[in-house]
Amino acid sequence: MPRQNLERIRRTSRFLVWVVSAVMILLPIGILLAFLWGGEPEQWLNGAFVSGPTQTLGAVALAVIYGVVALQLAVALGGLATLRALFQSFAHGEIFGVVSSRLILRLGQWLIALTILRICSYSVISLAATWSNPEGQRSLSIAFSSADMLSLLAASLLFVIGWVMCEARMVVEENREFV
Amino acid sequence: MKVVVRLDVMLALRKMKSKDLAARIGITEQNLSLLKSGKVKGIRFATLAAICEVLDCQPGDLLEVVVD
Repeated sequence: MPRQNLERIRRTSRFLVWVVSAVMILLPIGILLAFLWGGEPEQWLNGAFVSGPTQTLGAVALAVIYGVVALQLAVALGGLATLRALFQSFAHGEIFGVVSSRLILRLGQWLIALTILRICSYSVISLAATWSNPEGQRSLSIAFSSADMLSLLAASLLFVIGWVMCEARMVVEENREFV
Repeated sequence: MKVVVRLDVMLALRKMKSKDLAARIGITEQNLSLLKSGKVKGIRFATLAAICEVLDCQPGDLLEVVVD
């Protein structure tokens, strides 16, 4: 690889390390602010689902909703931490190395987990939000949008690319043992 | 059974140094040393042919199968 291209990749990756670091700090703060100043959970839940809560949410329902959001945030932060480590690896010039290949594989796993969690979260939150409603007004919403499909496909692609890179790395290592 | 490399024997018979052989066949001294000590997974046909040409021998003179 030409030295100039490698330097460009390193420079871009160094910048992206900062961007991802900033997102890792701003994302939890943003979610916290949305919870603090975004109004009562009943308000935004009513807007998000076809049939929302008709009365004040109970402590269990709130705990489930906050728990699901916290879990999504934790998985998102895990993915971002992996992405940050990947850019750091690129910034150090390790582009086709074992570490970066494994990180791409892991990033794909994080993204698959996040997409599945997002799809499931919608159903769980809708159920928790309407659990206290009178009989006949409880609902279980299931949503699977084209964005979810694309996200799942992109995550799967990333996972497979990481896997292929790990295998390729092993082939290179094996070839190195041939003289 | 395993394959043992007898390159050191052929080098001694031809009175040639490893360094010279490595230079003539175009591989590093380090790789040739690994080959001599049998610490490699395999040898490419191109490398084997080059060694045979320089040492004027057959692959059978360089490789031997021994029972464990």
